Amino acid sequence: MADYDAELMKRAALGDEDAFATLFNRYYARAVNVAYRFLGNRDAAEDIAMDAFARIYEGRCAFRAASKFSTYLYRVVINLCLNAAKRRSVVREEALSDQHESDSQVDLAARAQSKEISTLVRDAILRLPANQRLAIVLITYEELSYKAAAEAMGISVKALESLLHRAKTNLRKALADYMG
Amino acid sequence: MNCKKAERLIVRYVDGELSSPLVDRLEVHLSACSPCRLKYEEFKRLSKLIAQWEPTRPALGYEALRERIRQRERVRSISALPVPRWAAAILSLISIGIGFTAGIRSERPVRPHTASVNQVASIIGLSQHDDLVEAAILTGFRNVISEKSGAKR
Ligand SMILES: [Zn+2]
Repeated sequence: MADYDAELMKRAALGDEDAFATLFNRYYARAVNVAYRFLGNRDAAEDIAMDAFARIYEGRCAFRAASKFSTYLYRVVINLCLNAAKRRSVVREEALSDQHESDSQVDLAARAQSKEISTLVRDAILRLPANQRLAIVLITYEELSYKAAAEAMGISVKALESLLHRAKTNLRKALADYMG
Repeated sequence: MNCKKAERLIVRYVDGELSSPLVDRLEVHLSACSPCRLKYEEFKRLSKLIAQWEPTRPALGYEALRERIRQRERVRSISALPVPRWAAAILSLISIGIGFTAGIRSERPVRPHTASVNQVASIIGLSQHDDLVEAAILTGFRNVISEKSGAKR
Protein backbone atom coordinates (compact mmCIF):
# COMPACT_ATOMS: atom_id res chain seq x y z
CA MET A 1 0.00 0.00 0.00
CA ALA A 2 3.05 2.23 0.32
CA ASP A 3 3.12 2.81 -3.44
CA TYR A 4 -0.49 3.90 -3.38
CA ASP A 5 0.40 6.48 -0.70
CA ALA A 6 3.33 7.76 -2.74
CA GLU A 7 1.03 8.03 -5.74
CA LEU A 8 -1.47 10.03 -3.68
CA MET A 9 1.30 12.32 -2.46
CA LYS A 10 2.48 12.86 -6.02
CA ARG A 11 -1.03 13.77 -7.08
CA ALA A 12 -1.36 16.10 -4.09
CA ALA A 13 1.84 17.85 -5.14
CA LEU A 14 0.28 18.44 -8.55
CA GLY A 15 -2.68 20.14 -6.91
CA ASP A 16 -5.08 17.24 -6.45
CA GLU A 17 -6.86 18.18 -3.24
CA ASP A 18 -8.84 14.93 -3.07
CA ALA A 19 -5.65 12.90 -3.10
CA PHE A 20 -4.43 14.69 0.00
CA ALA A 21 -7.82 14.30 1.66
CA THR A 22 -7.57 10.56 1.03
CA LEU A 23 -4.16 10.44 2.70
CA PHE A 24 -5.53 12.44 5.60
CA ASN A 25 -8.46 10.09 6.06
CA ARG A 26 -6.21 7.05 5.88
CA TYR A 27 -3.71 8.23 8.47
CA TYR A 28 -5.17 10.95 10.65
CA ALA A 29 -6.46 8.66 13.40
CA ARG A 30 -3.09 6.92 13.57
CA ALA A 31 -1.24 10.22 13.86
CA VAL A 32 -3.60 11.30 16.64
CA ASN A 33 -3.07 8.06 18.53
CA VAL A 34 0.72 8.18 18.34
CA ALA A 35 0.62 11.65 19.89
CA TYR A 36 -2.09 10.64 22.35
CA ARG A 37 -0.07 7.72 23.62
CA PHE A 38 3.06 9.78 23.84
CA LEU A 39 1.52 12.81 25.59
CA GLY A 40 -1.49 11.28 27.33
CA ASN A 41 -3.68 14.19 26.32
CA ARG A 42 -6.35 13.95 23.66
CA ASP A 43 -6.60 17.64 22.70
CA ALA A 44 -2.87 18.14 22.49
CA ALA A 45 -2.66 14.96 20.40
CA GLU A 46 -5.21 16.17 17.92
CA ASP A 47 -3.51 19.55 17.72
CA ILE A 48 -0.20 17.88 16.91
CA ALA A 49 -1.72 15.56 14.30
CA MET A 50 -3.36 18.56 12.58
CA ASP A 51 -0.10 20.43 12.66
CA ALA A 52 1.73 17.47 11.18
CA PHE A 53 -0.69 17.20 8.25
CA ALA A 54 -0.63 20.96 7.68
CA ARG A 55 3.19 20.90 7.50
CA ILE A 56 3.19 17.92 5.18
CA TYR A 57 0.63 19.64 2.98
CA GLU A 58 2.79 22.76 2.83
CA GLY A 59 5.83 20.68 1.95
CA ARG A 60 4.01 18.31 -0.42
CA CYS A 61 6.08 19.41 -3.41
CA ALA A 62 9.29 18.53 -1.58
CA PHE A 63 8.18 15.00 -0.69
CA ARG A 64 10.39 12.31 -2.19
CA ALA A 65 9.15 8.76 -2.31
CA ALA A 66 12.52 7.57 -0.93
CA SER A 67 10.80 6.86 2.37
CA LYS A 68 7.27 5.63 2.86
CA PHE A 69 4.60 8.25 3.45
CA SER A 70 3.69 6.64 6.78
CA THR A 71 7.31 6.76 7.98
CA TYR A 72 7.51 10.40 6.98
CA LEU A 73 4.28 11.17 8.83
CA TYR A 74 5.40 9.33 11.97
CA ARG A 75 8.65 11.24 11.93
CA VAL A 76 6.90 14.61 11.73
CA VAL A 77 4.49 13.61 14.50
CA ILE A 78 7.36 12.35 16.69
CA ASN A 79 9.29 15.59 16.33
CA LEU A 80 6.23 17.66 17.15
CA CYS A 81 5.57 15.47 20.19
CA LEU A 82 9.13 15.86 21.47
CA ASN A 83 8.86 19.63 21.06
CA ALA A 84 5.50 19.75 22.79
CA ALA A 85 6.72 17.60 25.66
CA LYS A 86 9.61 19.97 26.15
CA ARG A 87 7.53 23.14 26.06
CA ARG A 88 4.79 22.12 28.45
CA SER A 89 4.16 19.07 30.48
CA VAL A 90 0.87 18.06 28.95
CA VAL A 91 1.35 14.50 30.06
CA ARG A 92 -0.73 12.64 32.52
CA GLU A 93 -3.41 15.08 33.61
CA GLU A 94 -6.39 13.85 31.66
CA ALA A 95 -8.97 11.44 32.98
CA LEU A 96 -9.87 8.67 30.58
CA SER A 97 -13.23 9.48 29.07
CA ASP A 98 -16.02 7.02 28.52
CA GLN A 99 -15.76 5.94 24.97
CA HIS A 100 -18.08 3.01 25.32
CA GLU A 101 -21.30 4.21 26.84
CA SER A 102 -23.55 1.40 27.85
CA ASP A 103 -26.45 1.30 30.30
CA SER A 104 -26.05 -2.28 31.28
CA GLN A 105 -25.81 -2.50 35.08
CA VAL A 106 -24.01 -5.80 34.90
CA ASP A 107 -21.18 -4.29 32.90
CA LEU A 108 -20.55 -1.49 35.36
CA ALA A 109 -18.23 -3.30 37.74
CA ALA A 110 -16.29 -4.95 34.95
CA ARG A 111 -16.01 -1.67 33.10
CA ALA A 112 -14.87 0.20 36.20
CA GLN A 113 -12.16 -2.38 36.67
CA SER A 114 -11.01 -2.33 33.07
CA LYS A 115 -10.97 1.45 33.16
CA GLU A 116 -8.81 1.32 36.22
CA ILE A 117 -6.38 -1.05 34.51
CA SER A 118 -6.41 1.14 31.44
CA THR A 119 -5.46 4.14 33.60
CA LEU A 120 -2.70 2.18 35.30
CA VAL A 121 -1.26 1.09 31.96
CA ARG A 122 -1.43 4.63 30.64
CA ASP A 123 0.30 6.06 33.70
CA ALA A 124 3.03 3.43 33.57
CA ILE A 125 3.68 4.20 29.89
CA LEU A 126 3.67 7.95 30.45
CA ARG A 127 6.28 7.54 33.16
CA LEU A 128 8.73 5.91 30.75
CA PRO A 129 11.58 8.03 29.38
CA ALA A 130 10.58 9.63 26.06
CA ASN A 131 12.50 7.32 23.74
CA GLN A 132 11.36 4.14 25.50
CA ARG A 133 7.80 5.42 25.36
CA LEU A 134 8.08 6.09 21.64
CA ALA A 135 9.40 2.60 21.03
CA ILE A 136 6.44 1.07 22.90
CA VAL A 137 3.92 3.29 21.12
CA LEU A 138 5.21 2.45 17.65
CA ILE A 139 5.70 -1.27 18.23
CA THR A 140 2.93 -2.26 20.61
CA TYR A 141 0.16 0.11 19.61
CA GLU A 142 0.95 1.05 16.02
CA GLU A 143 2.25 -2.46 15.34
CA LEU A 144 5.07 -1.26 13.14
CA SER A 145 7.87 -3.61 12.26
CA TYR A 146 11.13 -2.99 14.12
CA LYS A 147 12.60 -1.72 10.87
CA ALA A 148 9.83 0.80 10.22
CA ALA A 149 9.80 2.02 13.84
CA ALA A 150 13.58 2.43 13.88
CA GLU A 151 13.37 4.41 10.67
CA ALA A 152 10.62 6.64 12.06
CA MET A 153 12.68 7.29 15.20
CA GLY A 154 15.92 7.77 13.33
CA ILE A 155 17.79 5.04 15.19
CA SER A 156 19.19 1.62 14.33
CA VAL A 157 17.16 -1.56 14.75
CA LYS A 158 19.64 -2.64 17.44
CA ALA A 159 19.09 0.59 19.37
CA LEU A 160 15.34 0.16 19.06
CA GLU A 161 15.58 -3.39 20.37
CA SER A 162 17.45 -2.24 23.41
CA LEU A 163 14.92 0.57 24.05
CA LEU A 164 12.08 -1.95 23.83
CA HIS A 165 13.80 -4.32 26.18
CA ARG A 166 14.32 -1.58 28.76
CA ALA A 167 10.78 -0.25 28.29
CA LYS A 168 9.20 -3.67 28.74
CA THR A 169 11.36 -4.45 31.73
CA ASN A 170 10.28 -1.16 33.33
CA LEU A 171 6.62 -1.79 32.52
CA ARG A 172 6.84 -5.32 33.86
CA LYS A 173 8.05 -3.92 37.16
CA ALA A 174 5.51 -1.08 37.24
CA LEU A 175 2.57 -3.36 36.43
CA ALA A 176 3.72 -6.44 38.33
CA ASP A 177 0.63 -6.44 40.54
CA TYR A 178 -1.74 -6.55 37.56
CA MET A 179 -0.14 -9.23 35.47
CA GLY A 180 -1.97 -12.01 37.34
CA MET B 1 21.72 -20.82 23.88
CA ASN B 2 22.25 -19.22 27.29
CA CYS B 3 19.58 -17.44 29.35
CA LYS B 4 20.92 -13.97 28.62
CA LYS B 5 20.61 -14.48 24.89
CA ALA B 6 17.22 -16.11 25.36
CA GLU B 7 15.87 -13.11 27.25
CA ARG B 8 16.88 -10.78 24.41
CA LEU B 9 15.13 -12.99 21.91
CA ILE B 10 11.97 -13.34 24.02
CA VAL B 11 11.01 -9.69 23.48
CA ARG B 12 11.47 -10.06 19.72
CA TYR B 13 9.57 -13.33 19.77
CA VAL B 14 6.59 -11.77 21.54
CA ASP B 15 6.63 -8.91 18.99
CA GLY B 16 6.66 -11.38 16.10
CA GLU B 17 10.11 -10.19 15.00
CA LEU B 18 12.03 -13.45 15.24
CA SER B 19 13.04 -15.39 12.13
CA SER B 20 12.16 -19.08 12.07
CA PRO B 21 15.59 -20.65 12.76
CA LEU B 22 15.86 -18.47 15.88
CA VAL B 23 12.29 -19.30 16.87
CA ASP B 24 13.18 -22.99 16.82
CA ARG B 25 16.31 -22.46 18.91
CA LEU B 26 14.48 -20.28 21.40
CA GLU B 27 11.65 -22.79 21.74
CA VAL B 28 14.14 -25.52 22.48
CA HIS B 29 15.63 -23.36 25.22
CA LEU B 30 12.19 -22.42 26.62
CA SER B 31 11.09 -26.02 26.83
CA ALA B 32 14.16 -26.85 28.93
CA CYS B 33 14.48 -23.69 31.06
CA SER B 34 11.65 -22.80 33.39
CA PRO B 35 12.92 -19.33 34.48
CA CYS B 36 13.04 -18.24 30.82
CA ARG B 37 9.67 -19.85 30.14
CA LEU B 38 8.29 -17.81 33.04
CA LYS B 39 9.78 -14.64 31.57
CA TYR B 40 8.25 -15.43 28.20
CA GLU B 41 4.82 -15.91 29.80
CA GLU B 42 5.25 -12.61 31.65
CA PHE B 43 6.17 -10.64 28.54
CA LYS B 44 3.20 -12.16 26.74
CA ARG B 45 0.87 -11.17 29.58
CA LEU B 46 2.43 -7.71 29.61
CA SER B 47 1.59 -7.25 25.92
CA LYS B 48 -2.03 -8.21 26.62
CA LEU B 49 -2.18 -5.86 29.59
CA ILE B 50 -0.71 -2.95 27.63
CA ALA B 51 -3.29 -3.49 24.88
CA GLN B 52 -6.02 -2.57 27.37
CA TRP B 53 -5.27 1.13 26.96
CA GLU B 54 -7.72 1.80 24.19
CA PRO B 55 -7.07 4.16 21.30
CA THR B 56 -8.80 7.52 21.17
CA ARG B 57 -11.25 8.46 18.45
CA PRO B 58 -10.39 11.79 16.78
CA ALA B 59 -13.01 14.52 16.95
CA LEU B 60 -11.85 16.53 13.93
CA GLY B 61 -11.83 15.89 10.19
CA TYR B 62 -10.51 17.20 6.91
CA GLU B 63 -12.41 20.50 7.16
CA ALA B 64 -10.47 21.29 10.33
CA LEU B 65 -7.24 20.66 8.44
CA ARG B 66 -8.31 23.12 5.72
CA GLU B 67 -8.90 25.69 8.42
CA ARG B 68 -5.53 24.94 10.06
CA ILE B 69 -3.76 25.42 6.73
CA ARG B 70 -5.53 28.75 6.14
CA GLN B 71 -4.63 29.84 9.67
CA ARG B 72 -0.96 29.02 9.12
CA GLU B 73 -1.00 30.94 5.83
CA ARG B 74 -2.34 34.01 7.63
CA VAL B 75 0.35 33.78 10.31
CA ARG B 76 3.03 33.42 7.67
CA SER B 77 1.84 36.41 5.69
CA ILE B 78 1.93 38.55 8.83
CA SER B 79 5.41 37.44 9.80
CA ALA B 80 6.59 38.03 6.22
CA LEU B 81 5.87 41.75 6.62
CA PRO B 82 8.96 43.99 6.89
CA VAL B 83 10.26 44.52 10.43
CA PRO B 84 8.46 47.47 12.09
CA ARG B 85 10.44 50.71 12.08
CA TRP B 86 10.88 50.92 15.84
CA ALA B 87 12.31 47.41 15.91
CA ALA B 88 14.66 48.22 13.05
CA ALA B 89 15.77 51.35 14.90
CA ILE B 90 16.54 49.39 18.08
CA LEU B 91 18.38 46.74 16.10
CA SER B 92 20.53 49.30 14.32
CA LEU B 93 21.30 51.10 17.61
CA ILE B 94 22.45 47.83 19.15
CA SER B 95 24.52 47.03 16.11
CA ILE B 96 26.14 50.48 16.14
CA GLY B 97 26.81 50.16 19.88
CA ILE B 98 28.55 46.82 19.41
CA GLY B 99 30.51 48.30 16.53
CA PHE B 100 31.76 51.14 18.75
CA THR B 101 32.87 48.94 21.62
CA ALA B 102 34.61 46.61 19.20
CA GLY B 103 36.22 49.50 17.40
CA ILE B 104 34.51 48.60 14.16
CA ARG B 105 31.35 50.17 12.87
CA SER B 106 29.21 47.30 11.69
CA GLU B 107 26.51 47.98 9.14
CA ARG B 108 25.69 44.40 8.34
CA PRO B 109 21.93 44.15 7.95
CA VAL B 110 19.96 41.67 10.03
CA ARG B 111 18.87 38.97 7.64
CA PRO B 112 16.43 36.13 8.12
CA HIS B 113 17.65 32.52 7.83
CA THR B 114 17.85 31.11 4.35
CA ALA B 115 14.49 29.94 3.14
CA SER B 116 15.48 26.35 2.47
CA VAL B 117 16.75 25.63 5.96
CA ASN B 118 13.67 27.20 7.46
CA GLN B 119 11.34 25.38 5.12
CA VAL B 120 12.83 21.98 5.79
CA ALA B 121 12.87 22.60 9.52
CA SER B 122 9.26 23.69 9.53
CA ILE B 123 8.04 20.73 7.50
CA ILE B 124 9.78 18.24 9.73
CA GLY B 125 8.43 19.99 12.78
CA LEU B 126 11.54 21.55 14.23
CA SER B 127 11.57 25.00 15.70
CA GLN B 128 14.49 27.18 16.68
CA HIS B 129 14.82 25.97 20.26
CA ASP B 130 15.32 22.36 19.30
CA ASP B 131 18.29 20.73 20.83
CA LEU B 132 20.53 17.81 20.09
CA VAL B 133 17.81 15.22 20.54
CA GLU B 134 16.03 16.24 17.39
CA ALA B 135 19.23 16.90 15.57
CA ALA B 136 20.28 13.37 16.41
CA ILE B 137 16.94 12.03 15.23
CA LEU B 138 17.34 13.79 11.91
CA THR B 139 20.90 12.75 11.25
CA GLY B 140 20.11 9.28 12.52
CA PHE B 141 17.19 9.09 10.15
CA ARG B 142 19.40 9.91 7.21
CA ASN B 143 21.83 7.21 8.24
CA VAL B 144 19.12 4.63 8.64
CA ILE B 145 17.62 5.50 5.28
CA SER B 146 20.96 4.99 3.60
CA GLU B 147 21.44 1.68 5.36
CA LYS B 148 19.77 -1.27 3.79
CA SER B 149 20.02 -3.69 6.66
CA GLY B 150 17.34 -4.43 9.22
CA ALA B 151 15.03 -7.08 10.52
CA LYS B 152 11.88 -8.06 8.73
CA ARG B 153 8.58 -8.68 10.38
ZN1 LIG C 1 16.97 -19.80 30.29
